[in-house]
Amino acid sequence: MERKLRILLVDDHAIVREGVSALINGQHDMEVIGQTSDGKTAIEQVQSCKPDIVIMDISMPGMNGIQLTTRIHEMCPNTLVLALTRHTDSTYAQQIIQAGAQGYLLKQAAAKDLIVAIHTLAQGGVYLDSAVASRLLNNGSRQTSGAATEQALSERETEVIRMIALGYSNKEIAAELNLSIKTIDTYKARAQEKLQLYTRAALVRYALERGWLGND
Amino acid sequence: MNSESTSQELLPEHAPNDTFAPSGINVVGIGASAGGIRALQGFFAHAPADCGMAFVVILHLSPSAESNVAEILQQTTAMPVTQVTEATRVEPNHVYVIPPNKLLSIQDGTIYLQAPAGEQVRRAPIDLFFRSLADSHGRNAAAVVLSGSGADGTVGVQRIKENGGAVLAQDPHEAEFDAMPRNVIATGLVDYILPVADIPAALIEYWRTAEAVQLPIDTVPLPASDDDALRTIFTVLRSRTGHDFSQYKRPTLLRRIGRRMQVNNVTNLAAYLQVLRSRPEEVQALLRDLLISVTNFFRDADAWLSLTAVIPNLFASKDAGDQVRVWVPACATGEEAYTVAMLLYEHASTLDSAPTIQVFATDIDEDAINTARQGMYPETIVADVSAERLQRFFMPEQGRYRIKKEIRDLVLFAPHNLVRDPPFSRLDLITCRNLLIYLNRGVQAQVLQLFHFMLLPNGYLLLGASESADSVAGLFTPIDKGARLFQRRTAPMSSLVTMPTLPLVKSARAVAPRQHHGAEDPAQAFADLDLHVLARYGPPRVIVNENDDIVHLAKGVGRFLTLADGELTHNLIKMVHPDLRLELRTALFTALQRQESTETRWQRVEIDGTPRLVHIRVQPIQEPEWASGSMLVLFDDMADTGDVLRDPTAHTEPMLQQLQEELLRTKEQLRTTTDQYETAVEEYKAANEELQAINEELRATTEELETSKEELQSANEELITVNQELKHKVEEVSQSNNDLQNLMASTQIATIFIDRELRIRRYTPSTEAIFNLIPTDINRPLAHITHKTDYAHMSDDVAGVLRTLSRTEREIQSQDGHSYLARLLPYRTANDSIEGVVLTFVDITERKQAEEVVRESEEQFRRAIEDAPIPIIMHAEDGQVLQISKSWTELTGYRQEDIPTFEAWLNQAYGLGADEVRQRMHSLFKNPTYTEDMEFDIVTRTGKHRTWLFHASSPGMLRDGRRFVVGMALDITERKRAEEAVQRARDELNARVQERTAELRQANTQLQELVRKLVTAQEDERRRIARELHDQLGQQISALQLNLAALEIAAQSDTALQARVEQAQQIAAMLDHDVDQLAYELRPSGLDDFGLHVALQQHVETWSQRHGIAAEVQIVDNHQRALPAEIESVLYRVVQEALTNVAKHADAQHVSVILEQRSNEARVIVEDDGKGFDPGAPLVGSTSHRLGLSGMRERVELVGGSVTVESEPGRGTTIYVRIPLSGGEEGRHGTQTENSAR
Repeated sequence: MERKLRILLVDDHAIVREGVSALINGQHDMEVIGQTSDGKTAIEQVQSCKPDIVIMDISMPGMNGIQLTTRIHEMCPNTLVLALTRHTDSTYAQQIIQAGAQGYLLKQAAAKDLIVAIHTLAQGGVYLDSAVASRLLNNGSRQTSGAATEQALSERETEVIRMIALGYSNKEIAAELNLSIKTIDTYKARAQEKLQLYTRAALVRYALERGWLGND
Repeated sequence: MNSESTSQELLPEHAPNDTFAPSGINVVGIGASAGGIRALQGFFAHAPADCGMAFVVILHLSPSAESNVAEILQQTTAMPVTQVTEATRVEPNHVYVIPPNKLLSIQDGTIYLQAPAGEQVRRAPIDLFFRSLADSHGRNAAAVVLSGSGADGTVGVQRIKENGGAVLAQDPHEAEFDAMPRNVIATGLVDYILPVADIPAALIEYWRTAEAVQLPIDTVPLPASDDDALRTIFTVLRSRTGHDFSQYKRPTLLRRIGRRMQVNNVTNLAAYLQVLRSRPEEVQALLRDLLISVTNFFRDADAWLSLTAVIPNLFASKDAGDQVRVWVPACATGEEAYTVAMLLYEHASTLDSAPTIQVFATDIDEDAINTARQGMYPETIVADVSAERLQRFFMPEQGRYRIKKEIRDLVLFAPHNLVRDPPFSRLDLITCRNLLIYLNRGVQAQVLQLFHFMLLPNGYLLLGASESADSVAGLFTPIDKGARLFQRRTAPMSSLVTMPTLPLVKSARAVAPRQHHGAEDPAQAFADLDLHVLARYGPPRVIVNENDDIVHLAKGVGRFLTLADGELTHNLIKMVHPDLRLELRTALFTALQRQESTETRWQRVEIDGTPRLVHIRVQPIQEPEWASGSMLVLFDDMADTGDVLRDPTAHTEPMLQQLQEELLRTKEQLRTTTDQYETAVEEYKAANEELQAINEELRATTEELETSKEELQSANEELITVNQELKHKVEEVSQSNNDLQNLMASTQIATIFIDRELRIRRYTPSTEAIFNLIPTDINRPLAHITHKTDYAHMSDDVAGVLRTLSRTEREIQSQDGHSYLARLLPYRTANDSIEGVVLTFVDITERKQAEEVVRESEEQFRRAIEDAPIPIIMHAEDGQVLQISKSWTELTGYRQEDIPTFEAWLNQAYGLGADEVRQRMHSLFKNPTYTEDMEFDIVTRTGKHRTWLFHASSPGMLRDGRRFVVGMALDITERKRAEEAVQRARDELNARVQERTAELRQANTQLQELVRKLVTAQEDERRRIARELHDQLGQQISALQLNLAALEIAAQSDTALQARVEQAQQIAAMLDHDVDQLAYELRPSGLDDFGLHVALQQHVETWSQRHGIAAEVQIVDNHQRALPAEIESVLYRVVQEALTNVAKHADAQHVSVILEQRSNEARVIVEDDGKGFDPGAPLVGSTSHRLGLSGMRERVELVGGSVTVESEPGRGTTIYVRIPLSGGEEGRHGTQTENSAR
């Protein structure tokens, strides 16, 4: 008979702790060995009980989940941490994983995926909630500047692109360069065609890369 | 001895080796300049690596730049090429290259480097090297001149040639720059002119021949075959050129001939003779080589220094009328002669009354003399002549230097053969350098004797470095042995100085003592013995020439000869015993005439006190040919025994007596005849000498004529110039004539020129408008011409002008209504005589009309003021009132006579205010550009007060020069009163409005503050509810779901229950999602936990996923400083609302959200590529869109920001939000505190 996974629950909502422990204890290969509502007690319990896995909320009074994870990771690097939270922002996930957590599960999906997540961690894997994971990945896939196919911009086109990147409206640019708005539009369109950059955000990035946007 | 000390003046005798075949290394100096690199490459490409020569390359390099000529040349030849950097020993099959900014010289096979002494020397590195090469290597030297500009090398090759080296030049047609080769070729000294590629082969062949040439230079005597050949060569030379070289030193001659043999590739004299006979030009070439004698200016500086020291002696005791006479025999191309002339001139110019200087410069080479006459020298002479002398005595001309006229005039050049032609006499100085060395010792002595004879007592003689006057000991005293300077010593006049008879040229008297020829022949030893015997035992005898001068005396003949009184003579007839004289003369004459042996009878003569019988036989000599014309005179004597006189055939008798008497008479007659004859001969001699003197004078005259010709040529040049100038003047005159014609034609002023007879001389075309003039009227009297004016007394006026010579002016009228000003002036010529009258008619019609117009306008002006409906006053600067308008009088009650001055008006109308008006008037006149609008209260005559607006214009000028001002007044009394009433009402209203506005502003501020608080409260509330939802309800739902999940597990067996649980789970999930969404929309937790950047990115991502529209966020934040929480909220909400609008209305594909944080401003830009709208269009259609916008605006304006929207149908929409940031240093915390404090 193999040893059951020993799990510590940390959540300031007792009702959630109960739900989770009911679900876990219903499993034959894992058990909840302790519960606590705050970080301070949690650290003591981790030191005394040496749980296999700590399941913790992020938003808690006093020490929050991210800080707690950092401490646990320092004290007992072998203890696995699964964040269980209602925050769908990928930023939370990013931060707690950086602090040392191995899993991030939304409470919204806990009923369905908690057991799977625990198993994944126990087998040495990393678990990320699918909704959060896709956001995290999106962050890295930004449109890059069209530098590779870039054609040389004319002086005027460069000037217009630079002013766009600096946040001037077409009207302001027109006034500044003493040209009509239509002409500015034409320059902008031509430059965008050359650079293969069709959004303002891409143009700003392009300008940033060239250091056009200095300190003010 | 300075030839050792300077080593520059090594002469042929001192050349390193005296056998002919060259020993040591053959050194080839190669000079090149522009275009030289390519020529050098061509040269070395054809020079075999084992050619056995050493090459030294001299180039004109830039002094500053590095040179890589050595590397370039190395690529074309297998020989090692070295740039010389230190004293280097030359080796065969090596190439040496000059480095930049250095000069090279060579001595005894070692190349030395020198730093250039100055700019001048730098120009002639090739010349300098060639000279040292020539001096050091003599016949082992060769000079090659390749492409280049300038004349460098020209002087150097002369020295090469003089010392027996070879000279080669690149074919100028091939050279890129042909000036240098051409200049060298022009010296006539070049042995080969070849394309560059053929030069190496020619050099190899030249040296090879040198080894093969067999010339016994130092063998005396010559082998018979060579001697014959040499003599024939002399004969050929004499017959073709008139120059006889048989008296020249044999080794020198042979060396020079040997060089020609090398050039012609023949190895013995006989073969060369063939060449000489078959090619006439070779004779000229040989002559040039034999004659070559090169000098430089100031060659051998020491000698000239010594000479300079004695020059003052030449001038001593001479006065302006005297001459200093100098002779430079063998002057070559004149350098030496000019050098002497310069030195003399330099000294003469220090004297007050200097004697004239006359330098005779002669040479046998006419080409050289012509060159010398030109006085043009290559620029490379700068190496020899000091800069100071160069500047003083030379003029640069076409890249060369021409000697200045002042020096040129001192020197007379003439072709002259020193040993043939009559010499110059009464000389102070003779410089004869490097000529004697070519002559045999005997001839040397004769020449020196000649010099001695021609010099004045204490005159000086300057010889060449290796020459001396030792052969005529006693004639000269050495002054400076090293410099070879001698002074004539007063010594007994030698009567043997008969130099001009020496046979150097074909001459009728071409007989020379040649006795030594036989003796030189070793094969004739017995003949020698025979002669010896003959000399001792032969009869007493004399050999005389055709002039009866004794040329040879044999032993024992002395007793037949006596020494006569008077001048010493050779003449046999004069020297023979007087008793034998007659017989001998007859015998000599007969023998010469008949060319047969003649004998005299036995003659009784008393010799040494003893009577002897003497018999003379005269034998003309036919063999050898050169001695023909001479005669052998044999004397025979015996004791007078009286037998002969007692000859039986001579028995006395009266007949004999008679015959003897007759004989005595005849003898007497003969003596008389002889005396006469001798007198005649003396006279002939005198005449001959005179002719010689005349000859000299003629020569000098020719020189002078030469000079005159040059002067005439220069005069001619000047005439041409003057003529050119004259032409130019004529053109100028013609030009001014043209100008005058045009002026006449174009002038509008009618002008007539009249002569003293009152006839028309000339008129301008515009005259035709007044006078009936046509061109043929010229020369007709003026009175005959009709005109169209009322000028009746014109002729009288003209006559009057001529009489009084003063001008007259009249104003006249023409019939067509024009007015003219007729002006009559006397016509003065340049020399101030009166030649007539000039009439001009100036059209003054317009001026007259203008005057009329002015008068009218003045009247109008006056009336205008007078009748003007407003009060006007015009017064002058001095106060006089000039005019006032009628309305002035009406309004004030004052007439003009009441206020004669402005002062009077001021005092009456203004009272106390008068001072201010006065001051203003003053400043008006002071500053004329200033105009004044003044409001014044005046008092009328009747005492009423009125307000006037008074305007004064800037001052004008009266005709009498006074300035005046026009003042206009407006009576604004009524208007003023109405205005005051209105102003009072307005002020009251304004006060009330301000009061109300202040109240409103306060209310408004309060309202805004309330709204702000409301918004903050709203945000706080939202935050609170969102927390609540998240923390309480959300957690509970999560717990519910977990429980449901647990229940689901527990209810596995009960399917009905399981279905219910699943349903409950779905409801819980939906509830969960809704709560989440609600909380998020109320206030995203990220905004508080992570700040605006993260929250924005999160929101845009979520939005993008939810609506399926690509969206990206770009944040530009160079300061990394958090914004105040309030502003973050505003920006977040604005983006939220904008995106909501996009999702609802824009139909966009891409959305960009830009957040830019600056130190003083935060900006948000939301751009989509949707359908856009027309911002100017009226509010129709989707009003909610507009509502969204106005909601944004309200929020933004609440924190002092602004919203700009740019859109256009079909082109997307861009929203610009700007919020100013106060301070810029506050963090989020401080702002929050501030917010809560409000």
